[in-house]
Amino acid sequence: MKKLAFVLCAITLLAAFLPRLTTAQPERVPHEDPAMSQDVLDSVSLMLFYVGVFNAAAGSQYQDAQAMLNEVKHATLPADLRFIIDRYNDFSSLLFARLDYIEDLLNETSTLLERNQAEGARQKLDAAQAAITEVKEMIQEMEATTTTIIRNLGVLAPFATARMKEAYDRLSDALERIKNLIARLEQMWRTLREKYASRFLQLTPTELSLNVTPASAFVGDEVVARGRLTSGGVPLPGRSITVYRDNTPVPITTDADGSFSAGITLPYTYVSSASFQASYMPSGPDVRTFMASQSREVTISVLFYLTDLQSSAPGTAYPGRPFTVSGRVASVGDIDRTLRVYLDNTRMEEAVVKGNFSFTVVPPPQTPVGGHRLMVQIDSSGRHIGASNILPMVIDKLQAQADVETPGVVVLPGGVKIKGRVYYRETPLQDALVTVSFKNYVSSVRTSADGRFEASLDPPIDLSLVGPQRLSIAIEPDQPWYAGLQMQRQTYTVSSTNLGLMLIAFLSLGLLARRMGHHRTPVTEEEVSPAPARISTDDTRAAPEPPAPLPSLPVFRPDLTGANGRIVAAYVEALRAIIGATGMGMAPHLTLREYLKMIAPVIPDSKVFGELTRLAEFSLYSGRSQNNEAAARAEQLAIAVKEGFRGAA
Amino acid sequence: MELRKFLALLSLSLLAVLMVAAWFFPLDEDFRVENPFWNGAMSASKTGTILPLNSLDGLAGLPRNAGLLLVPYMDFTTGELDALAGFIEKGGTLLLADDYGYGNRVLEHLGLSARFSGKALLDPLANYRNKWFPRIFNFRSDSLAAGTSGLVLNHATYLESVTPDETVARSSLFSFADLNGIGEWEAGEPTGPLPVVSRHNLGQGGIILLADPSIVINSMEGMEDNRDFIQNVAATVSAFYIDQSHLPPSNLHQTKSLLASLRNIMVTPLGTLGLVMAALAITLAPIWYERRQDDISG
Repeated sequence: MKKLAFVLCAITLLAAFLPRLTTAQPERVPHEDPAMSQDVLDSVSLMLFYVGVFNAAAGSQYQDAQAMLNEVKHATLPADLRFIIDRYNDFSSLLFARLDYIEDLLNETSTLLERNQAEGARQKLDAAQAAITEVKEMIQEMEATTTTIIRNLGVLAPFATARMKEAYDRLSDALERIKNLIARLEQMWRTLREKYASRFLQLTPTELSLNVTPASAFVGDEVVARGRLTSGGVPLPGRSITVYRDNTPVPITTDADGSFSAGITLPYTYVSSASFQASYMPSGPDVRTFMASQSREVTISVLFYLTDLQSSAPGTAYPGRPFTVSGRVASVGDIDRTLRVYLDNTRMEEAVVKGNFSFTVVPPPQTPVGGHRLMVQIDSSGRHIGASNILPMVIDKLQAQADVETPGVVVLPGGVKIKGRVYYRETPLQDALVTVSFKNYVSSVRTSADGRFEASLDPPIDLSLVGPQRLSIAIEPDQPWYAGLQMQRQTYTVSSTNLGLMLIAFLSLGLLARRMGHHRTPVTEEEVSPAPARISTDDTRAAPEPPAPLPSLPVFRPDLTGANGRIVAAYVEALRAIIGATGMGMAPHLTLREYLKMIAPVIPDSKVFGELTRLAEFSLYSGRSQNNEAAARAEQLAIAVKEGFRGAA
Repeated sequence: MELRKFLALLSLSLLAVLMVAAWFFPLDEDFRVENPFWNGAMSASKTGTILPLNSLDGLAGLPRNAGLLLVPYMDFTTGELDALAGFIEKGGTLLLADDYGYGNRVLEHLGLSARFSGKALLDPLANYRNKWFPRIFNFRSDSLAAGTSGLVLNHATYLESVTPDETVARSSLFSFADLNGIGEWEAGEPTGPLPVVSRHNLGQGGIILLADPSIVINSMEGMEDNRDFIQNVAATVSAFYIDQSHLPPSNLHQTKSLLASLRNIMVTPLGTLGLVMAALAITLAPIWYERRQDDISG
């Protein structure tokens, strides 16, 4: 009992401490159940975010401020607040755009004033004035909307935390900085306006003409730009003029009669037209005399030769498997052209071609399966424009096929042989890796030149007796353009060793059961019910009542003869005496030993009957025959039992 | 029946019941494909996206161009790190998804400068429910992000020493690194956007770093485009596995492993023979005992 208690205590202690003996794990929580998580709106972070936005705007970083506002659409906000925030963002975006616009206008005005471009400066100043008036109204609305948002966030409520109030103060400061920015811009506008008024009242206007010949030219050809600079009809010689070809400046100086002329080469830009404009910016002493001027814009036609590219490629290609791209290039002059082939922006091939062409292209083996883009491109060359074709292409894999022979029945222990052939449309696939797994055992082989393979497995014995088992076969072709194959086969296994062992076990159990059933169960004539004990020292026993009918005796193997028979007979005789004296018969379910245990407390000398019981058991159940000496001893013991009762009586 | 026999039988019965319960009760460990609960990866496994790999010893036998999702919650041996390096070198793709584990050990061994910061990435505004679930919507044009407009992370971290060219996804402007662990932004703490997904070429293969492995668990897999992201990774490899040998085992898992070990012993020829012998011995023991008692008593 003590041992049992000790074992139970040990198990309890182990159970208590084992959970703490797990191996090292991350210190932090790796995740939590999202379904159990709580919705939390971080109003402080929201306010601080707008502080960052307004500070960026107040620092004239309008694009950064706008980019930050764009992120707010990803913020998780309650629906009612989301509406207000979206409106607030739209308004903020508009405000930043207008502020950016005003700054640009004022900067441009400043530049125009420096260049004596009076008309342009005046237009910009007018536009800036309108925009400043607009943003002054906008900032008032912004303040009102900010108050609405703050109220929604609970910042003005009595329960607002110190952190919330601090964030609110910072937001108010940021808005104040925006207002200061507007005031600064307005002041800048006033300064420029005064500069404009004081400057242009005393300057003389200038006129600038421009003509470009010829009216059409090939790319790479030279055209001539001519014109004249005057002021009130008087030529202005030796002045610097800039002719802009599509925003590319070409500096020229005017001649003695105020005229200018310059050859300008058209670049190899394959567009249909080119525009030219001349510009005069006063410099030196002219700054205090003349206004700037610009010519009209002149446009000429640009010529080039078209290239006709026709190309074709298969709609489906396979990783690592060559395919052909063919086609034709045609253009005026039939010259050599450089051709490139791209697969998803990766250059696959390059060559010089003329007229018809044909290429072999190999997609990389690791090209993922799916839709791709094949581009065939001809480079531009001199007067010949380039050309390209985009061909949609699907990269796919060919599905390998296999015929596999698996055994219907597998007898264990013993090898499992799997044979087969791997092919694609009757073409055998060489060197394909075939992996066979059966009961966690894996074997791999490669296919031969004819695509055949033969794999064998030698699985160990396990607990299974008979039954179906799954055989898995995975085939991976060596060529990257073939798709692998997975197969499952059912086979029936018979474990001969286990069957033999189980047979031995069952036979042993059967024999045991037979033997126990044969020996232990006494055959009774009828069930015997116990009667009240008759052995008593009570005086009333002197005048006994009429005896109740005695329980019947069991019959023990009447076939026993010799010493065994004598011993059993002696036991029956003693038993009869006991039943007669005690009235306690032997129920059919009791063994001799159980009966002894039951009767021992009420008979005079239980040791004597115990010895007789053991002799009887030997006679009944042992394979050995008892000798006469034992039989004589049994008979003596039976007599002793009977005398014991007499003595007690 | 005697008390001793009763207690012995009760103990044996309880042991048997517990063994059966432990054998059949599903695992509840993080990221395990056998786990059907919120923190398991059974959903991803059922859709055929992820296959379990119970030991890195099996890396050498994986198909060419295979992918491996590694959640490094337990430390590695040098042999395991070498096996991982060999796997990538031969063309494998490693998706190293870590937040607070041993991912940096792998990166050190592979000679990469990128690191998992090991600090919590919180996003108080762009999130799912609260700041511990940052939403990711800044993606570079990359096949990994094809068709993916948003991810939801769960107690994530962020990547360090990752170049813009390597970065595939970044957290929002609102996010920040909670260096001091108080859950609120303090001056000096890095603010978003912070890299959370990056891609690095190595040998013939590559490695993808993901600053939160939780996107594969059952409760997160269906959120926003988490599933698409995993499927994009799976689409670039011939077969996609999850290493389960570096996930911390629970008591239930240890019990199951013990039972599995016992079973594995039993299925060996010697084990089977021993089991049959034990059954016979138990069956015949009472007879042997009685006979012995008889011999002693004479």
